[in-house]
Amino acid sequence: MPQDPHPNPLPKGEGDKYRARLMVFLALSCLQGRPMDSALASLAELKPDGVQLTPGNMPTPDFQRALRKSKLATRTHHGFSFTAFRTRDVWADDGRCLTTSDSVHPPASTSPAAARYLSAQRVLETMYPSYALGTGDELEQAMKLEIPLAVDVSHLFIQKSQGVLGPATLRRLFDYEHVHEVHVSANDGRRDLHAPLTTNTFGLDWAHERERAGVPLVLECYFHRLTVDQRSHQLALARGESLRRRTR
Amino acid sequence: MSEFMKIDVRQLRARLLANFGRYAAHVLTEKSGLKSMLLCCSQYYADEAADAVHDTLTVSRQLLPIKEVKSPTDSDARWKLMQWDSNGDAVFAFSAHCSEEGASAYAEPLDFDETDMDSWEGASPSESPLALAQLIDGEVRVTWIGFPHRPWLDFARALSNRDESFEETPPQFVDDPAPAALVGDEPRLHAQVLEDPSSQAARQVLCDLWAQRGDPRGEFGALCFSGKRDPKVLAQVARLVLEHGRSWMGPLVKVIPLSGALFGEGPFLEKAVVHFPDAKTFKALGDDPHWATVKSITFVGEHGGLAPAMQHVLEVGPLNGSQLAPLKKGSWHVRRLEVVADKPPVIKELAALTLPLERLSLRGSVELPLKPLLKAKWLPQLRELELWLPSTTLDVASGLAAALVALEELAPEEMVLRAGTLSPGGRTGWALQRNAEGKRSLVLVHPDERLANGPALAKALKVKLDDRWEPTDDWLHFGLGSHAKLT
Repeated sequence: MPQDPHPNPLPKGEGDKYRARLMVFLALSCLQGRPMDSALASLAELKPDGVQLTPGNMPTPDFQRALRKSKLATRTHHGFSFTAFRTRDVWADDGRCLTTSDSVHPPASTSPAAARYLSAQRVLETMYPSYALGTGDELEQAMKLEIPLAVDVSHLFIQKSQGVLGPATLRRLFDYEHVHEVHVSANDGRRDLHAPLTTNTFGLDWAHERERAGVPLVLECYFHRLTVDQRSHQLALARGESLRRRTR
Repeated sequence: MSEFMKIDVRQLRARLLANFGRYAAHVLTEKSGLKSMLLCCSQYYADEAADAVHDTLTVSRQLLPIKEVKSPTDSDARWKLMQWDSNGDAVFAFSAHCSEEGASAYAEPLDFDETDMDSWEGASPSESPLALAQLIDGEVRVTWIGFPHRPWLDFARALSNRDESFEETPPQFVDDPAPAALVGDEPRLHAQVLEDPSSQAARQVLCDLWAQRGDPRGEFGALCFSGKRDPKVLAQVARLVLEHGRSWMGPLVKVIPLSGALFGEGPFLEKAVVHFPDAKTFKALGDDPHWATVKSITFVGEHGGLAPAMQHVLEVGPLNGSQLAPLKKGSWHVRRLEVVADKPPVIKELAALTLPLERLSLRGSVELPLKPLLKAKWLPQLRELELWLPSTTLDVASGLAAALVALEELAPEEMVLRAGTLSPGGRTGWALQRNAEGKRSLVLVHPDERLANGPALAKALKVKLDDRWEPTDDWLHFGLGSHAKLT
């Protein structure tokens, strides 16, 4: 058995350092496919509170320096690597998580790791069918074990649309204490589209509540086709700014 | 290291395109009545950066696949002949040619239908053409029409850091060959070519020397200057370019993507797609003498621009406002210029230039104030004027109509005017044209997207669709990483 190069204790108080501030992060995957420095520059000009470092961008030599210079808060997600598009193997077959990212996807439901991943004690993202944590039953099990969760409301929408997430489980999830991250984007209930938000996007109101309570919120819509103004509007929606203006 | 683990992107690409040619020959026959097949690619993404490059094939009874028909369902033949591995070879071969917008993951629905192709990973919002196969005089001709929309991925080792894997040996990539050596009198002759690129004499003497010592450049030069263009010659030229072309560019190989070079009048760079990854590389290579033979440059990416070594260029762009500055000094021969005209000062800069312009292409908006161009010294000799609207233009028909009106206010009647929208990849497709006789039609500038939207656009604009299109260069069949042109 190869030595685990990345021992994975649950970072203690991981969410605590963010609780003092309301924080909205832009995922690097908003511009997935671009070189890292180019993606960061485009996202930074929108002035988010932070950037979630996600896999899928081509590494560039001075990215870490550019990140420090940007003074943006950072979080890492799943198979992010500074030196590769992605870390391909995030889960070992025996259920160990091989990265130290702040939050990770659980394994595919057919993967050998799916039998034991809950014991890895990582912040796990709520997913959709074909992944672990992709159904309401699995979410109930995770909540029973008090697993820290990254709640992706767009994935919950897929679960709901596919008929595998009932209203009672959803209520319990929305009341769940151990939510360490919230992810937002939109979709059609079938595909994980990462479409832009609207004021009616499923789960957005709840996401704002959690953000006001200090849970980091990550916006992960694909920005490729959006103008700068449209991207800014997306960030405003994620911050609830458009809504607050309307209610004054 | 086993051969299986060695990835030669150029050879992969050549093989996949050859496979496409074979499949096209299987489908495009007199019996089937099908005359063209378009191969497109699209990138698939997922949150985990699991990626794939999918192929889409569309067929038509016309030589240009504007009106698509249902493809014959011989999936066995398709798999057997195309051998397109979306999760493997295709990623390395064609990621660079996909628009950055990708398809996205399907959740596996309860009513998942394995035979429904659309169920697999969703439909991409943007497909990028790679090659066009046409049945002409009983033979299938394949034309490469791909473009490196993401040029940073179109280098030999660009995807070598695709995966960080703790549990497997990563693949190795075959690097570019070393620059081909110059021996004896060759450096002097080569320098002469670069000093006076228009002279054929130095080129031919140099090619003779190379031929004498068995250097492939000699054979390539002899084929160029022979005037023969039969299939055997073309195939041999293609092979030479595939195997050796990357060694003919000197240090410029670092900034010219694998599919971004065209050689002409011997093994000398004539046309290039250029990607400077940063300002430091532009400083190091922008003024390299090897640019001297280049007549056409297309810049892709943020960094780029002109340097004195590029003074023989006849066609260049797109350039932004600050990149126009070098054109104010020295002696430039640019006849076709593309400019990102996003601010009024850029128009004023443009108007102040002294260039033998024949065609000006502006990337901008309908609101662009064009009147300052009326004072340009080059305006009387200009033959073609174009305005390309952003790809985010919502009402394309209205946008094009308005753009043409804006151009008409500026241009004399005999000038050809075109208005189009940039595709997401930045290249051009259909354009509303007013020809020198004042007639309007919808023309195809370059098949950068699937062509099926043409008829509806022509109807909305109330103009005739002009579906004539020929490749503007004698691109060899199969884009092989570098292309070759025969004089």
